[in-house]
Amino acid sequence: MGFRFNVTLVFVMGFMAGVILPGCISYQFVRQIQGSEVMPPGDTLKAGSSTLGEVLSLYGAPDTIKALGAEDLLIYERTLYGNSGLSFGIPFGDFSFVNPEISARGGLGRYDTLALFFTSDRILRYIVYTKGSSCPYLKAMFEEENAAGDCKRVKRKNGDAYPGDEKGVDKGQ
Amino acid sequence: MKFIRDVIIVSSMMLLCASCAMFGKSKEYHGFDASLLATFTPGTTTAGEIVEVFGAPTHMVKLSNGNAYIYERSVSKGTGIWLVLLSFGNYETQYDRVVFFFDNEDTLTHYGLSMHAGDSSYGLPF
Repeated sequence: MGFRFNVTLVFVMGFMAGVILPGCISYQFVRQIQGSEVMPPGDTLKAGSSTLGEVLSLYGAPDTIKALGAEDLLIYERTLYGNSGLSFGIPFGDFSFVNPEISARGGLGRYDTLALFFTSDRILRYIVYTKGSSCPYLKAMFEEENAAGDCKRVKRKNGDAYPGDEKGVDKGQ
Repeated sequence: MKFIRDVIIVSSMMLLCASCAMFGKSKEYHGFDASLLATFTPGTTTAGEIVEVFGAPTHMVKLSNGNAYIYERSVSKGTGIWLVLLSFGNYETQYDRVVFFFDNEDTLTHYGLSMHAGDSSYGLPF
């Protein structure tokens, strides 16, 4: 008899907790992706010799185009935005002016960006590639702003290859 | 007593299963036909001919040595799930984009095409 009482009590407490807790504790996570994956610049692109046509046939249409004086800038970019929140509160608001709540929320935007600078003759002059998504969410969120770590920016004129794959259809002339 | 316990068990399970899901889709539409790109020839096709076929561009950019016309459309898909204590959302936007580059005489020099709008998908954020 005692055993049965205890089991019932556990269920009652569990049920009550299930009714009350959703109003008190909640966790949210929202991810937002904008743009397709940006292929890392391999050895196919060479600053000083690659042309606009070669870049367009390899990467397709850029996301952003800008004129910088006598140069043009093409940007290929993918944005990965994460937003999370944890809140504790006691929902007294329906019958009292007091509605205590404490919450912690954070948002993190990470960018995979390939910036290509062209001369007015449309010859590739400079390449900058950044892969922000390679930095884990929590590490990027809590790492010191000035720390190099794994999330450092990559600058290059030509040289090393990076791992990556191609999705979708990209072509140009 | 057994009846009460069964009621509580069933109620607890219903409570745990109480959830809500949302799916949404939005489009920014531009009716260009990418298959018509084959009819354009860099070096001879003019900006006027392209506008005649593709219509007004979404954006125009003045470059150091000419102009660029950008045609763009997008598809966004969103998924949301609300569980008892947890809620998750995922929102993805992908683009179809054609960019034409012209010289100062408005003659086509290059073009680029990216078709990724179809890659936009529903899903969870992990």
